[in-house]
Amino acid sequence: MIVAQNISKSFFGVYALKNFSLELKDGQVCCLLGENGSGKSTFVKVLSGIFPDYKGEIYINGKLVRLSSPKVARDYGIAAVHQTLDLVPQASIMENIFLGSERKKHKIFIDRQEVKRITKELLSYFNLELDPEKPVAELTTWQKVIVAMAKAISKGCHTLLIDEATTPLSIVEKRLLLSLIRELKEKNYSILFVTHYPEEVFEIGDEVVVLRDGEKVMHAKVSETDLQMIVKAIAGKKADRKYYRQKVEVGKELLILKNVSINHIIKDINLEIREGEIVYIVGLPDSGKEQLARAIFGLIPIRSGEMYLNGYKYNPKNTNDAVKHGVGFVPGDREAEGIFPIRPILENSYISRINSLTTRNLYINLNKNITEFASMARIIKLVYKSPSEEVRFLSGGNKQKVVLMRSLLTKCKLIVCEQPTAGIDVGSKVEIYSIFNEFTENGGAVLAVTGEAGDATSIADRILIMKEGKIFKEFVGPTDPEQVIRNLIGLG
Amino acid sequence: MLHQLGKIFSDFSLFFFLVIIVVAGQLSNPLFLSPATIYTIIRGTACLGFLALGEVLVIISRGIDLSVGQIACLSSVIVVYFMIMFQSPLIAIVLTLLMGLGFGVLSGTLVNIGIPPFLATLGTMWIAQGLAEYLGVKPTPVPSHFSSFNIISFETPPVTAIILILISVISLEILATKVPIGRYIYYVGGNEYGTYISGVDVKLIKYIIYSFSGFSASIGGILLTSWTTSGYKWVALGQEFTAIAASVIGGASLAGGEGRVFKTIIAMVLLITISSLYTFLGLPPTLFFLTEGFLILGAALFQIKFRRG
Repeated sequence: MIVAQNISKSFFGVYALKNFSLELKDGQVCCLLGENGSGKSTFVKVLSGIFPDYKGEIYINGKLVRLSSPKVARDYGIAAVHQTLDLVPQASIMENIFLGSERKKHKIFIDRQEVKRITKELLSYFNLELDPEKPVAELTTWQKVIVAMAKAISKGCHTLLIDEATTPLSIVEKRLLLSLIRELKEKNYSILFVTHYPEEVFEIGDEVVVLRDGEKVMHAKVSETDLQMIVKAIAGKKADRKYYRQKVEVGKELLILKNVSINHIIKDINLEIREGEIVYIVGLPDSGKEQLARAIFGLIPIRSGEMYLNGYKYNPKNTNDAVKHGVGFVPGDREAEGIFPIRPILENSYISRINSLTTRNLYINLNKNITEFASMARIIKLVYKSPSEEVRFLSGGNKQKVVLMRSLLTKCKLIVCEQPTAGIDVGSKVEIYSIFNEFTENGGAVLAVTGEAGDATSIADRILIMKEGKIFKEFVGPTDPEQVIRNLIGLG
Repeated sequence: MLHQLGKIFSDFSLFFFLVIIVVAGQLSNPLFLSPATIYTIIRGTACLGFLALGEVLVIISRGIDLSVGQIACLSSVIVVYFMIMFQSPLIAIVLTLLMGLGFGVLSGTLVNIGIPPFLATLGTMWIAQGLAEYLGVKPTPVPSHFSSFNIISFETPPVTAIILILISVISLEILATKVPIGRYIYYVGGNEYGTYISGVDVKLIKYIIYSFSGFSASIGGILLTSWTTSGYKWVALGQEFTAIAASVIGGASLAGGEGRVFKTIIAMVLLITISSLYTFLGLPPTLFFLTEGFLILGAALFQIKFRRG
């Protein structure tokens, strides 16, 4: 039995998990739900030893332990099933399963025969007929999930943390996985099941816990709850909901997508965004929303169909082309793809049109556009000490503003934005919404993609629900987040 | 089909090249395949092979070791230096090997602190070079009463060289393919984070890889000294690039997770054979560099084309 008490973990000053307590009992499945960024994955990572700097106590069978590394967590019998995170693509199935716990013969050599035999057994236990020597890179998503499960079990772990494993799976595969988990539960495994889909809770769960903004907002026995209560908890209290959108005159069509296909899943997308509109595409991971956003910015090519911008045919060759056409982009992973951490704020905000900073088109002069920068910073309420301050010292919300500023300063017409408010504090969220309001008032348009229903319902004119590469539902005007979540998880 | 052909070709392409080179050499001058040439190729492979043995493991782990050439140079200088100082080849060899190991441990430490391998080993490379240049101003012959040290040079056929390199290649190949610690090198190169969250001590693995590379390079340096019969600060100048070339031509990927020990040695044989052939035919050394350049680019293009998955 695992008892986690008052677990907190913060990133750049923003709590991802705050005073969170949870018990995992043997032979039980505890379901953990919540929107993107609610702290589910953070908790899984704390329990698997990936974030050793967490605050709080963890007791295993009554003994206080410190999960300081993945090895320590594994030695305590905790294993996480990440989809593909911990698999080595070039190595074979059997090598991956025994990674870190190799079987040896004569105390030196890897016992290939033994390893192969056990792998075969494990795979057939999971109804998978595969050559154990096949490299993991050649497996399907479902097969990778099974290999990850087999890996966890082969290490003799009794606590399995299954992190959003069902999201990329087909319906049949989901059924298989859920019945597998039931079997494991009967074998007295203790399971933390992290999912987006509340209906799965009623198939396998004993207890259900809901996280929202890093805090526990619901903890109940599955037998004493219903779907309605869970959806309500995920969406948050009614009193906390506010619609920040100001009335803006809508102009002519800005971006039109006609039968756009990107791959065999994302196809025949039709979309229309007008000047002055804020449109949100909401979808779960693997719904294809990011690829769609990236295709519009020229990051990935479209396979067929047509795009029009301002009435002209638009087919960006690359990102530079997209910027020249007046399209801006805010990537979802701010730290990895958004900012240049050790470069000054000013330089960061001018990267998309760095030529405007040059003297005689040659030398970069960071003082050249300082007035323009300062007035823009004032408009977006950027909190900073000096334009030459390194971006990494800013808070998450201010970093996001700098990334947004990069697009605003190119005088673009359309901002394509991934997870506009992920990992930032509530105050900054509201300020980002006012930036959107102001930007659209001046004739611009925002296309945002997100997994957070509450984000979309706070600001969007229109909300499009995307699932398995298709847009299948549209909401106009102020919308109840519960309704959006119901549609996302297929209860609509 | 093309993929399978590519795979078969990539597995045997090195032998294929080697045969072509040897046949071409033999056709252009029937005296090419003499025992003398073969012994030279063997001696060269044994000496430089030890540089490549460490290098290929580092490259599989997604690193790079620029210091192997200069560690070999320094080893050559100090093995003779210590031999004269302590009047004992054995003590000199042991101390030299410890020195090589020490440089490897230093590189491993720097890499584990978080310095990129390119920079860390560039630093250790220049430290080794500085010491070699300082201690070995002039080439110093191995003292005549220790002439048995020059066994690589005088032994015909070069049995010691063959035994040393064969045993090392075979045991390393077994280690890398059959023993957990060897497999970890591939896992670290393939997915370092994944290996870490699987509960493997990644830092320890990197210590071992870089330490071995330094140690192995000093063996190469000692063998080169034995072959050239003197301690010389430039004996392996620039040979880190030959070691990298052999690794890549042997199929190792700088993106990590791929590469084979025995193929690296075959690639080394190939490079040395080409080099001896050009010398034999009296062609200018420039031509060898050109060939090496095309070979390494060919190998790199080949990897992009036929990378699996």
